[in-house]
Amino acid sequence: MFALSDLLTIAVDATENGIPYLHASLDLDRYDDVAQLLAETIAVRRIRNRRLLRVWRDHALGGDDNPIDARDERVLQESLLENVGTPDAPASDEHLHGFVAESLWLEIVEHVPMGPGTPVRVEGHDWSSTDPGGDGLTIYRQAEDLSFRLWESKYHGADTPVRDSVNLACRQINERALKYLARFSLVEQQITDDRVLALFYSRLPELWANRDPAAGVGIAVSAADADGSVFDRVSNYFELDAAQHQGHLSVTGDFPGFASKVKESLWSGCGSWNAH
Amino acid sequence: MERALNLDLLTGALGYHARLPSPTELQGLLSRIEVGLFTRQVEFDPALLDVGWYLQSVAVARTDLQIYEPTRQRQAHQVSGHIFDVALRSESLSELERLQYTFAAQIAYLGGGLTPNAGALLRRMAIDVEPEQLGDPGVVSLEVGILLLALDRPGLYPLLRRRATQLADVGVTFGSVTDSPWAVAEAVVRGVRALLEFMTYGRSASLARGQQILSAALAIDGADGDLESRWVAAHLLRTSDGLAQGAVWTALPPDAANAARAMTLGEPPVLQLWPPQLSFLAGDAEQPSPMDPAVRRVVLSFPTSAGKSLLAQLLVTVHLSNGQGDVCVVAPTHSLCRELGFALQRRLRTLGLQLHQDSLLGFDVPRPAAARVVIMTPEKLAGRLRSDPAGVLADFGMFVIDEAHLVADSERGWRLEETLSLLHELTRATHHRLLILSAALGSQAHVMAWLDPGSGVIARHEDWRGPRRLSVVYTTAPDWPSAGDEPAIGARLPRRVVPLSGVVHLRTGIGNTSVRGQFHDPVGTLVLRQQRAGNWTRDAERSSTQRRQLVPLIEHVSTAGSVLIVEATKTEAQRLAEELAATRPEDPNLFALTDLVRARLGDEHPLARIISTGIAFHHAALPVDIQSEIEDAVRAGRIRTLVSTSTLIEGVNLPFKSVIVAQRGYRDAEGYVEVIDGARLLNAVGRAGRAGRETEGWLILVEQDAFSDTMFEPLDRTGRDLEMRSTMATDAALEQLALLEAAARESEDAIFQTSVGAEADAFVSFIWFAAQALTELRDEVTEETVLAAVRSTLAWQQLDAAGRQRLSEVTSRAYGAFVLRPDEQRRRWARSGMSLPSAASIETAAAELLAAATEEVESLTLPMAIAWILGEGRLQTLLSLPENHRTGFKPRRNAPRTEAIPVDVMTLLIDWVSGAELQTLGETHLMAVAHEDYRYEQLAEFIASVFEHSLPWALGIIVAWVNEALDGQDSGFRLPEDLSAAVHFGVASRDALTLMIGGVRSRRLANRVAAIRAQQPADARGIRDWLSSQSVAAWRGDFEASPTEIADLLAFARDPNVQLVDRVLQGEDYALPYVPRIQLLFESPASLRREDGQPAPAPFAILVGDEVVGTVSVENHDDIELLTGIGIPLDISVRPGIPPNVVFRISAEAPDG
Repeated sequence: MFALSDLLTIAVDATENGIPYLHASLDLDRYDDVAQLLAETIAVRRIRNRRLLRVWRDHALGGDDNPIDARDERVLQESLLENVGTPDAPASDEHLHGFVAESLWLEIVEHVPMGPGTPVRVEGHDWSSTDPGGDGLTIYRQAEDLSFRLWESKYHGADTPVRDSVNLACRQINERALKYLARFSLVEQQITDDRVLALFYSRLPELWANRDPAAGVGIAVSAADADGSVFDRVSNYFELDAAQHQGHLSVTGDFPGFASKVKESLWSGCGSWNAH
Repeated sequence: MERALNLDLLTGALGYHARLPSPTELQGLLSRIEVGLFTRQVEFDPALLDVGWYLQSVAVARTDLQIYEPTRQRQAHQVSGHIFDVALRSESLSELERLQYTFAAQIAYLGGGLTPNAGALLRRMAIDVEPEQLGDPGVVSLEVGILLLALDRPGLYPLLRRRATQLADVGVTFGSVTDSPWAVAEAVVRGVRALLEFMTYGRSASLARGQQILSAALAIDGADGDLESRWVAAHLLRTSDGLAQGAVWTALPPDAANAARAMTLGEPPVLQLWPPQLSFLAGDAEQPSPMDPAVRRVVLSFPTSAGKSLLAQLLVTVHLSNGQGDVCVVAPTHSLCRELGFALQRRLRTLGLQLHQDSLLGFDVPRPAAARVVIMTPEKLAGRLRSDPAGVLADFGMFVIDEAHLVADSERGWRLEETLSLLHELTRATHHRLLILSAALGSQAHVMAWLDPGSGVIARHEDWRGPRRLSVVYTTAPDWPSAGDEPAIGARLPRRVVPLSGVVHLRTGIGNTSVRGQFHDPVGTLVLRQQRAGNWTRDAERSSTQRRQLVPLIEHVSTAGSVLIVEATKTEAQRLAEELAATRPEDPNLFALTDLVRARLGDEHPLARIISTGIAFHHAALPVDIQSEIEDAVRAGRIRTLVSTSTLIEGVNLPFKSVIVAQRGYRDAEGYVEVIDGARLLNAVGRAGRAGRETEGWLILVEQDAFSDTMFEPLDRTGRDLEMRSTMATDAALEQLALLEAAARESEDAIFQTSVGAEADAFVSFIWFAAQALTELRDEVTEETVLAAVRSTLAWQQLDAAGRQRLSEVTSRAYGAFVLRPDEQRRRWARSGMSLPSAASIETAAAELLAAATEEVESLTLPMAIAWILGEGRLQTLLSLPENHRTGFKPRRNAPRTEAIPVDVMTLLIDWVSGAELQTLGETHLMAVAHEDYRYEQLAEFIASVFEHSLPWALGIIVAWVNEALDGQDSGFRLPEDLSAAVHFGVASRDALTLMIGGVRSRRLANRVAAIRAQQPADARGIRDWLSSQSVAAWRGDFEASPTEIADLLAFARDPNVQLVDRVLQGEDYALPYVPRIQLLFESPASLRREDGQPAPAPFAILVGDEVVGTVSVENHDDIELLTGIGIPLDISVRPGIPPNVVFRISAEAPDG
């Protein structure tokens, strides 16, 4: 089975104003494959019940014509379709596009090494569906040194420069970083038995507050296309060394169409909602 | 000391960081926020929240990692609590943010040792404890977490039950709840339930289970999507050890399980103790725990809101649990006795124990056998000790003296001091324990030396308080640039009109640094008039009065919560209240209270004119029951602005968000008279921001002069800085003693014939008292033994050698006179508690009465018996005693004392005892006082001083002496002993008297109930049984009873034999008869609900399904209200029978849900 990143064209050596960033692009002829694969990764993350995941897969792959019973339907709706909605009550484009962009970022960041390397831990998805907190945290280990990047993911669908969405993401990280880090820090330091890791987790807010070299930020943006500079002003927001920043730019051509395909793939696994 | 904005605290907690404000900047941000909250010009800087989250991460970092010092972590907790708390004032928060910040602030307050603030935060938000939908898992977790940290058991149990049901449905739907998005939230719900079980019942297995559940919740696979719940779980897990350490069950020794039960299941429930309480109870190397039975003297000097009363309740219940004898609680006023009694009663009832109020002078209310705690005033304890010292020591094993700083009171101080001193002397070597409480107990060394029985005194002084206090000085300043000139018109000279700005100066910490804020609109006008010479002078007619300038401030402050304004005089309090009410609309919710005040005081009384606006004044010239109605209305939040004199701040425990000290004194012909002295100011300060209700209190000092930092200095004083000076250790007292000693050198009879002053009289009376008590208790009494009692006084500790010599000399003279008197006279005079000259006068009056007494007196009505006993000039004799401070009435406020108006006091007294209302009494007897306000003010003060205090005292003595003689003569009849109680309460019948003695505060109600009963056919039942056969609705209709009066009647009608709370909490089933509406055939599960459409206190309806099958009878209302208020899950059922029963038991739900 392919990793999703295998289906994208990815370059990791780009920089803008010293800010390193990853450029991922999606070929139009691979839309369906990528959408299906992304839906699959979303389902794996969100459906905890193995039986139900099998049910979803069987229907998504078209191998089961049996209707999904009402109870399973409710479970799928509640666990899988947050920010997606149902054919009868689809989520808003804003929610869907943000969700797909974030899911795309999550798949790329987990599998594509860049900057400090491949993260040893990716904390993705928001804290709560109702809380507009940070979008993710990646943790890296280089030799004995641990570091982190705090991420914000955006879908850029407006006619304005992509840079505007990036700058908005920067402002949001600045506003929310300490809240995110403080809460994450508390939970993780209590779970781990690794003293070094516990020390690192418990110091996350301290590292951020002190602009420590171990602290960094990442901005991910998905857009139909991207002309001009995207990440060139990021460093203005954080007063960190350039290497403490990271960018992800996913250029998808028809992003709304792509997101719609992801949505339909998710629905297709839900049997009676098969939109094909 | 100020805490909230203290730079040292901020620096210690925060340190310096590239991305965060510096401590000084943080102080500035917080100060501006606080001033902004005050002036309603808030701009919340997001940087503050960054600091809040950062500090929380510092505070909760694992201690074993040793990243931060424990002190810093504690400081970080305190500061972050403050930040999240003020962030919650922002109006732009989402509901989720409100929950997050509340939870974060609670965690911070608990971690910072500011426990009560965690509960207070809940009062600002509403959590639906019976939600229809499950909703977001993070919200589910946050809500149960918040209720747990607020220790809100009555809210938490229903919510946990509802959530458990909803989550069980999720489990069915998903196959397993762990496969659902609510996996962590479900674990949080179960973990919270287990922790609550531990806090409530002290089961350590529940604690371990709760911790295990929460720990497992953090590691639930695939739970990333609900990190909100994981955050809650992590905090609760981390905090659970602290909660356990502070839990009542942990703090009390295993053999005090009963006391722990009384605290955790009594009302209000106390699941967690506060840091000063914990450390005090634990004891240390220097002093043992006060719970140690070997400890016999305990002095607690805690500021208001530091948990002193609760600690006293705990020590009382521990004492009772240990079987060390009953407890006598002493409080300075009837209203405080009542309040303390009410609080303690609701706790003792969980143990099946009763409490008894016995504060009447001149009449001993019979004590029920089950009453283990008796509450009385210092005067009553003094009277009982004088009458029967051996009995008092046999009756009680513990004496609790509340508000002990009363010792320094110029009028009543010596009475308390002599009582306490003799009690101390008599119990030096016995098991008796003395617990001394005060918020303003000064010089510790003197107090320690005073009360040391030789084995040491356990003393604790605390400055700790939960709510932070923000101190503000309010001044006004002319806004010169905005001044406008009015030109001269004809002969009228020019005027200059200057707007006055209201300026608040917020103190930012220790030292004299303040931040200034200003009200947007002017608060008044200064008008200057140009004189012919060209200079300008103030135009008093057109300029705003100082009172007027206060109105915008008060209006402003009252929008943030309830406010108490302290004035130095009754007149000012009244005028300010009237000014405030002038612009306020009427509140329909207050019409019932308004009607009641009108009925009692008349339509034209100032209070009757304003109270419907939610503003009231409170001072000693109001009748006691009206004072109580006002206090209840403040507690219930119906009255939110109260202007009072110092009587309120010394009395009951009323909560206010803000206290404004408008005046601390007044000027009269002799100069400035300070009314709000150090101790009173300290008490006023304590009223601002009550623990558990507010996280912050505003104390505002109003100053007339230009602002100076030194204006904050009076607020720096703590109880430690105040000296509690004995009234016998003053120059005036020593001078009187010198005069007396000189007179006694001339003639030994001078001791009981010459009154040289109140202090000397009181001291000689004490010697008489001590000599008599020692004679009754000891085999041999000498002058030296009596002198030992004098050495047991605070005065002795505080006097120098010359002063002590003076006390010794007068002691010698007084004891010399004592031994020369006949035994009977010694005993009588000692028991009277009066000065010896007064006792001699009463003895003469009693002898006259004895000669005239016939058995017919037993058949007289109360008013007639009083008229007969006090006839033949005896009333005048008693009014002339120096113990009586009021003898007549003046036509106008500024009339000289000599210009008295003629009032027939006997007729006034009989009208009073016959139940006439204040308005009627005024219109009948005091129409010569033209000014209506002053008429009722004088009348109320006369009644409080004479009819409610000195006259019943003296009357009780006369009746007791005559009865002793009648008994000695085998006369076969006695004078009624309850006459003094009838005078005290102003009631005409024994039914009314029984009601008043039983706790009903309204004499109107008591007289009306008694009058209606008198119209019914003769009934052998007592008044309680008669009332119990009726309903609340009938009371409301027949007696026109207000909610406060109904509450009093419910307490009175309570069946004292019911053991509902005690038995149910011990796990038993308990059945009570109820009033059926329909007949039942089978035992059925039932529920309780307040009856629809009935005003509070609404009776309980009993339902089977949705159908009302009956109502709780009035005699069981109080017990059921107490039991259901505890908040533990109950199973209720109804059982058929004649009469049918409602049965209560603790719910059989699994302990951890």
